Amino acid sequence: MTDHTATLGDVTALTLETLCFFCPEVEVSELQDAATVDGTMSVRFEGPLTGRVVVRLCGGLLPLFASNMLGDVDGDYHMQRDALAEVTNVICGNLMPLIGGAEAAFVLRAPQPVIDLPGAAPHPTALVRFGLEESGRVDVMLYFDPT
Amino acid sequence: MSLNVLVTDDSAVMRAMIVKTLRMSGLDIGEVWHAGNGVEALAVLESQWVDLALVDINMPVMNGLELLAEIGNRPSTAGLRTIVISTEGSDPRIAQVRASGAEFVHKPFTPEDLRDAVKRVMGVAA
Repeated sequence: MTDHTATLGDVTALTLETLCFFCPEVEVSELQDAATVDGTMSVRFEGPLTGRVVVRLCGGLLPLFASNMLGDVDGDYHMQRDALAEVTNVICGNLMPLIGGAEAAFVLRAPQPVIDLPGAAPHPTALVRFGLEESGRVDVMLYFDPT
Repeated sequence: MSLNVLVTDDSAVMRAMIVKTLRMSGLDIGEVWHAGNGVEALAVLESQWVDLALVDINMPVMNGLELLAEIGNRPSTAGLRTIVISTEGSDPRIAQVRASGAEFVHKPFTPEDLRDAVKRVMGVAA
């Protein structure tokens, strides 16, 4: 495990607990591992380091994501997608000072939905996976642009 | 006295979360106005009575730092109490926010974080 992986894991767990009221599980069960993808969001960061943070939610948890954040309101699909976008944005924003330093200034671009994972960088610098609820899962990936 | 609040964030989900948290906080919240960027926020401030503005930094069209500068430059809004709610982690940028007189709350925040920041900026005893 790289330092970035540990940091990405810590930031992801804190965000899921505080923002979404989930209890992320480090051990991913077979059921969670087989979960199909609900949606994927990406936030690009630019500064001393450039790249993107990608969050992939699996297992039909998108409505629960939104209702946990909004309080018993599932919201429509756009609100649910916005919830995943905001989670991605918060993870990226909290990760930047930890990997770039507290003095570093980063620009975070607006979250964008991802159809396929970035082909230009098939192997992320860091990848963390957490089990969520009985059959859901979240994968979070950190990519740096090629230098 | 009820607080009329303007929530400025380009995420509708985050605006809804902030409003939900404010209403749970025990503070007396009156009218709540929404804006998706700084330009929309200024339009609300020109037409409505607002006691407190909650502002994100990273927004399209006009970002939060530009909005704070505009609020400070306009005689009609210069004394407005403001709280920046952001994922921003850069110490120099956070110092810039505080130098403008705004409070700063980091995302993700707890209801207590937001309640305490509102009390500090409004001068209400904790």
